[in-house]
Amino acid sequence: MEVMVYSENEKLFKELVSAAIHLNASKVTAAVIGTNEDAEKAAKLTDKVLFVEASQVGEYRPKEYAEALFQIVKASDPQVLLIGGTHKGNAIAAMLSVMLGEPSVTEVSDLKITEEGLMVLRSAFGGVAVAEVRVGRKLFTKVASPKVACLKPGFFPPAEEEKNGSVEKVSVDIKSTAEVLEVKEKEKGVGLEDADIVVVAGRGVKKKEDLSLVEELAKALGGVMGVTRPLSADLHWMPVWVGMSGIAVKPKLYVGVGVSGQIQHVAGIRNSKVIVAINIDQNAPIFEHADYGIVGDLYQVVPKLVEMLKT
Amino acid sequence: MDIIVCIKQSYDVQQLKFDPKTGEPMLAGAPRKMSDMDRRALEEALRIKEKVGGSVKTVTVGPPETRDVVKEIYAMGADEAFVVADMKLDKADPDLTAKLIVETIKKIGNFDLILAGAASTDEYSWQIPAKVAALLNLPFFQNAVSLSVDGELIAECDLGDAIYKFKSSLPAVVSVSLEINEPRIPTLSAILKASRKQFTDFRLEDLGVDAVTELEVRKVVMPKVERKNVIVDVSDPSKMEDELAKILDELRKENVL
Ligand SMILES: Cc1cc2nc3c(=O)[nH]c(=O)nc-3n(C[C@H](O)[C@H](O)[C@H](O)COP(=O)(O)OP(=O)(O)OC[C@H]3O[C@@H](n4cnc5c(N)ncnc54)[C@H](O)[C@@H]3O)c2cc1C
Ligand SMILES: Nc1ncnc2c1ncn2[C@@H]1O[C@H](COP(=O)(O)O)[C@@H](O)[C@H]1O
Repeated sequence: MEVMVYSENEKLFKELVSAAIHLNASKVTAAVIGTNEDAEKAAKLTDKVLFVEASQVGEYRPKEYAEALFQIVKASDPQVLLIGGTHKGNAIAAMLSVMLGEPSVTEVSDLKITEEGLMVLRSAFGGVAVAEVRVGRKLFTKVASPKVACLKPGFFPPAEEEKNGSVEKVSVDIKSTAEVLEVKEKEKGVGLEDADIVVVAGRGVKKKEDLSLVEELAKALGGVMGVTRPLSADLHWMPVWVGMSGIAVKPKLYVGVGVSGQIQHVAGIRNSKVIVAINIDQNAPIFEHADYGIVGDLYQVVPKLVEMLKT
Repeated sequence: MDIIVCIKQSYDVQQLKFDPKTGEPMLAGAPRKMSDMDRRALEEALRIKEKVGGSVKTVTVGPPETRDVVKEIYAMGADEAFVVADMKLDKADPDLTAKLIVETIKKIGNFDLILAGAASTDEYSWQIPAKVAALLNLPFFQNAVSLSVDGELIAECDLGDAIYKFKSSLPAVVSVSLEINEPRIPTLSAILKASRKQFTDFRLEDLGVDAVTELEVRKVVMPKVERKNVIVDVSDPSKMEDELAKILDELRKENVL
């Protein structure tokens, strides 16, 4: 069985290769839209690289990229197509699956092949539950029509560079309908994914300056600070946020400061070993998910904690 | 500008209860609400209409109970709502839903722009707007944080690592992020008026689509995470230090400090 993998994200690409091996793929093919160099890199991880020069497609636009990938898929015969579940990957997967006439599934954390076809685990209901989903009635229906699955980052170990696959160029002719006027790169995050101690500030923090309070607590604990989605996406106080739609964390210790504990945030912290919450409202939902809950005003509790930790 | 907005009546995931024994969601009669990002998509459509004129129509697909969302759609100010409701749609997968949306859009006829939420509150699959675009062979832009339509479309989209500013011809499909706007809260009189407004109620037969699905959900469970739930009130300043010291001790005992 051939499994094809695609992701613009290098780390996730390696995770996809692992997932393909986990599926017992006899052949792992990489789809690459990029430079010669990108293709050579992918060849170190896979049996075969099918590669479209980025200059033929231009900068990322969902429809154009889906069409380029469609050409790549047609140049081979994969039964499963694994795509990195980023914003770009999810959009490409959806359009591509329609072009292929095959189903797609996203937010996947695990997968296997059974007699009934491709079975996946995906998150459900705001990220708090896990659904087992069968994808397609049978695995092999048509030639060059793979089932499409988008994998969430962080569920498979990155594969090692131990192959020396062949590289084959695919030429595409894409009719463009859109152009990219500007790409504003965001600041990089602070490594929340791998931190042992994570302290998260929520909307209980009233002003941007007050984030320094929370930052001090993070430092005193030897951890890093993150924020909830509104503080990042709405107020732009930090480039990334913690939660289902942001970064999922799995620290030994999570401390939520003025965080209400809405389900989409909790979905991203549930793998923490110990959860501590500081909230002024004793009915805040975060307390249901906490090992230790501190009912109080963060403006009094946090400085006190910092003082106690320093002595 | 004639705009069509895809609006889902999602499960209210915040209120969803799980069976304590089996861990399965208790979906029968579970509360629903307009999907969070879809509310922003509708708001964005209304703002565009208020600025440049035109119409705002909506499409909702789902089991019969999703018809309830129409009241809210009208109360916010949409011109006309279309619903495809059927018991069988409880198990619809993204391809079936997208197909039904597209068939409804074809019945509606003319449009310049299709708006949707980037991801629905319950399924969160990020698939349907892109599938709608692919089925209609239209350009698609995902997770817009700002939008302008002035002959052509300019969409700024948050794609995680970067904000992309796209320019495109119309018609196009755009899905919007939670942060694109602050949706209006309908007035009481608008709500009262809305409940009397008629909407188009399609069946699967009207659209000539069979309820065939390729994705089948076999099982849903909420993995149990046991928490200690030790809650202390430190609002009395004279006791704060003692109470906090106890918690720090516990954390040291648990080896996380
Ligand atoms: C599809 C979707 C995806 C989402 N993804 C995410 C995600 O990945 N991450 C995320 O965080 N959110 C996400 N959200 C948003 C989420 O639903 C909540 O809106 C958000 O988590 C709330 O953030 P908050 O706790 O900071 O703010 P609020 O809910 O406003 O809570 C603030 C809390 O601070 C407390 N407080 C106020 N003053 C004080 C004080 N002086 N001292 C102590 N406590 C105080 C209040 O009691 C309250 O509980 C998502 C939403 C949707 C619809
Ligand atoms: N059943 C539905 N009816 C109408 N619109 C929908 C439906 N399901 C999804 N959508 C639209 O597609 C968006 C993304 O949904 P999803 O692909 O489920 O994450 C939603 O925010 C809606 O705008």
